[in-house]
Amino acid sequence: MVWNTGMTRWNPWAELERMHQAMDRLYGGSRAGGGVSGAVPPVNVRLEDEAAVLTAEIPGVQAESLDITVEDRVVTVKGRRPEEPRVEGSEWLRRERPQGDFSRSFALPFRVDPDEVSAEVRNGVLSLRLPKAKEERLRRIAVNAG
Amino acid sequence: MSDATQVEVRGEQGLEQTASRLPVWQPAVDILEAPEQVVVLAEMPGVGPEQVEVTMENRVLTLRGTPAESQDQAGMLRREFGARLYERSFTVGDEIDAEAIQAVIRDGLLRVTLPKKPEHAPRRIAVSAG
Repeated sequence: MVWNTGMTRWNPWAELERMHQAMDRLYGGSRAGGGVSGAVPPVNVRLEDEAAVLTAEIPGVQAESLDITVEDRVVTVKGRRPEEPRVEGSEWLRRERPQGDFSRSFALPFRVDPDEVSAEVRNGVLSLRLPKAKEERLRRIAVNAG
Repeated sequence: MSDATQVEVRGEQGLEQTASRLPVWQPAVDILEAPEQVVVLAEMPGVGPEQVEVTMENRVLTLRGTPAESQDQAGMLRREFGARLYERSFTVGDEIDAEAIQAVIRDGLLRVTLPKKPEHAPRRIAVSAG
């Protein structure tokens, strides 16, 4: 086990592991991310009339390191998780957070207008607003009386 | 949100469903021990500085966070995360100076710095030739 490093001064591990096992039972084995674990950030996608809103949990990732592309119906979010600087003589007692680069693509049920996409990162949550391409938007046709 | 902050989550198993019905999650953590301090990094996406609480009591460090807002449920095409509370506790050793603990949250990442008492920091003993 990764935390069993022979350190005796910081020793909450036995209790923590019991808590983890309780969590695993509670959530059916997926501990961090609600069904998505590892290096892929979890994503929610909500449909509105004229747009889709994609949110992704990216704690610790800075907005500058994100690369967001839209092509036709597919939106791709790439990002980099920063490395924690380490002083000499330091060691990891526990590493649960995902590391490295990530990339996540999502196909929407409509084409996106790439010029109208807006993105914001707040408290480690990316919000991406993806408006429909103009030709895919609902148009009302006036019906004339005959 | 105001309900959630009053929630008592200590129980026999350490985890309970809360009165506000938000699930309580243990945030993923990295812990880095350096010669003079220990740093705990806890992932709490959606949590801002006003919604996080760090306490130290009887050598138990507790991290709590409450996300600011939950998402509208209507029209969800895909749902991989939802609103929840974060809570996690650690027992820390005697060498930590409880008075000097500092916590900062940025980009949904909580960073708690636990300095060691000076007498526990490693010292280099100069060895002179006899």
